[in-house]
Amino acid sequence: MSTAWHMDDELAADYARGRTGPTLAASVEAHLLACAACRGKLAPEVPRARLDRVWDEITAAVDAPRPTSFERLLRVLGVPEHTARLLAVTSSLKPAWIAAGAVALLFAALASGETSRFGTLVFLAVAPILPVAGVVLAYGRGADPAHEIAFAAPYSVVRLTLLRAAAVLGVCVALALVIGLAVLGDGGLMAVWLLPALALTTLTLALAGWLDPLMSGGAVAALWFAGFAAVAVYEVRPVLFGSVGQLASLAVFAVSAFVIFIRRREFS
Amino acid sequence: MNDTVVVDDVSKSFGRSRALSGLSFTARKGVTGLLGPNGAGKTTLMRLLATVLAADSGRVRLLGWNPVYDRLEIRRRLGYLPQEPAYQRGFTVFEFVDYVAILKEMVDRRARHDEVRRVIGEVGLADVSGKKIRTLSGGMRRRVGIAQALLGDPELVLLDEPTAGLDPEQRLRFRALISRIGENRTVLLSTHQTEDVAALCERAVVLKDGRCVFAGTPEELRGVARGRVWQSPRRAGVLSWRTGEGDFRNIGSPPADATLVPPTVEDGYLLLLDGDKVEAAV
Amino acid sequence: MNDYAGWSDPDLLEAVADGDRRAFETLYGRHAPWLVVRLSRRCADPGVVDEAVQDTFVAVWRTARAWRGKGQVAAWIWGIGIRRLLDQLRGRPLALVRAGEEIVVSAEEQVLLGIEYGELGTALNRLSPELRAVVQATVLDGLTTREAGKLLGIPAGTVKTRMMRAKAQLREVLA
Repeated sequence: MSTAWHMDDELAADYARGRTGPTLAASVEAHLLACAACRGKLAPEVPRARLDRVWDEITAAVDAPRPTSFERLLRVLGVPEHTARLLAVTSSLKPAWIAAGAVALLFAALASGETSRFGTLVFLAVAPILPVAGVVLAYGRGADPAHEIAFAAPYSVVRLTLLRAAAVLGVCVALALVIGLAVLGDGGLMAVWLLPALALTTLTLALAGWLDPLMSGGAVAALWFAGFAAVAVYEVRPVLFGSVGQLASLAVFAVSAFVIFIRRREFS
Repeated sequence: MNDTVVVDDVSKSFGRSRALSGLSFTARKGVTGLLGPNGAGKTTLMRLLATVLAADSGRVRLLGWNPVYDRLEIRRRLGYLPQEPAYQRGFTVFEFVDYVAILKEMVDRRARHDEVRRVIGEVGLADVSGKKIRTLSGGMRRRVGIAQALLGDPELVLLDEPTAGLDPEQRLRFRALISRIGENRTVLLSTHQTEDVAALCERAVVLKDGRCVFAGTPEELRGVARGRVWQSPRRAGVLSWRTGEGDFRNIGSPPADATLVPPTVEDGYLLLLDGDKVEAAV
Repeated sequence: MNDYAGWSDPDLLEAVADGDRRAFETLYGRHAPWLVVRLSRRCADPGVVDEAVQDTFVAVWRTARAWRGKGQVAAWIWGIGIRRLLDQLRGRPLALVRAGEEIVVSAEEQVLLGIEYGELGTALNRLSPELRAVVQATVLDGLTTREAGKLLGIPAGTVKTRMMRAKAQLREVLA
């Protein structure tokens, strides 16, 4: 499409200042799309300072990380931008991990279709452990390769940990509720494991003050499964989820939270 | 007193192994080089100064604050590049530095992003700020680490072996960058490269077995070996190696008829590390 | 920046897709000025034009990979630019749009080159400003009927009828 027709400097100036007639302007515009040389002739018509100003805005917009969908959801829920960003980079809140958790729960829930008693038990056993696993992933060494830098930063490590744990807990609860309701269709069943889940998660965090998070999470999970198995032999809906169990969960939560508060300085 | 870093009789143990034992030294504005062999306690000291570790005993003052009580005040004025820092997979340069900026309490998005862009520009990475860190070369990755250490214009900058594993050309560029950073700040730089210290540090501190065995200017460190380095056709002294010219370069107690040669900073450093052997040989 | 000066637009765009900031800056240097000028002929408010140009290049940075290597990079950028301008104009007083002043022509360059003194030019000049604006928005700016309606502040149906009327008039004059 090479043509003999090109703008001269005068026409370029006229076009840029809107002094060309409508038909000529149309010719120019169609030609511009195909001719780099004529596009270049318009460069002197726009002040350098204006282009630089726009460029600065562009680099600012381009550099800024694009919020993930999870981050946008948090923003909608009223979480401040910087907090949402911190949570979004938590590895257990990455789509892959959330999907893995969902699959684990789904299997647990589907198992209940086989024999009602066994399936329900599996679901009840697995659901409260899910946030524990999530917290271990969010807090473990491997989760934040830059943890050494994070420790030396003024942002409170305890606050960061609790924020992430809360987010993980929130996501897990939402996940388990949806799957539980969809597959099991039992609203009551959905509520009973919430307090145990909170208690186990807090206990994991409290123990993480002494142990490696992975150890602490593993210990809590082992304890939970052992206790669960011990009582599940006798009952369809074990005592762990009855009023005694709920009260015990509350107590574990309270003690763990207190320990975290007391030891908040040594937490790092 | 203009000492911005005061370490007085500090000890730190991990289980039964003693990393620092009665360490004392001071540092002020400008670049101070921290020399020592592996295991001398450099990284432990750096982590202690970064308030990541607490000392078992002794007194530390950083920018006039006590890390036991005013940890937050120190952290707000601190930039820290740990040894061999790792980065989140999938982070771009900007995302990572921005993440650290949030941890450094920069709340306002606009101002924070401006600051992130500033430090990325300062270490010369503006062109790659949108690239994933794991796609960058080792030297560039190290610069990402330095960029985050410069966030918020800290008064105290700790760089733990920032030049390890860099090729000579990258090291040269790093020296220029670090000496620029040190113009109006206290920079503590740990390294086992005596050339780094000779080239860019105003002061040098040599650690050995968790103690400070030397503190002074690089010139003074060189002076340690004055009259203790000589050339000979045969191996002699405590440390000795064949040079390019075929002669041996020896450090230790020279014989009376020795051909003395001018020492380097490295000679002084080596002599300090093997000083007891030298004394024993006398 | 000199190393990039000899690069073609598609090469630059490929580098931009890989996150090359300097290639992006070169592309901006080449295409921002004419885009500013041309958008200024659609909208008299420089602030709005600047915003549109800014959005355009942010979109170029993010979607460079989506460019399939067909046609002119400039045409692709214009396609983004005019739509970002539309986004900017949404909800603003339409007095800003000066589109009615100008005239338009077929997108085929061959036709356009002869247009100034040819019969088509005369025919276009005879169209009422309203009809001309519709031809311009759809044919030259490459907008859809709906988008043209937004730019001109008229319903899409009106764009269609005006376009039909314009075509009929042109046919009459050129016959």
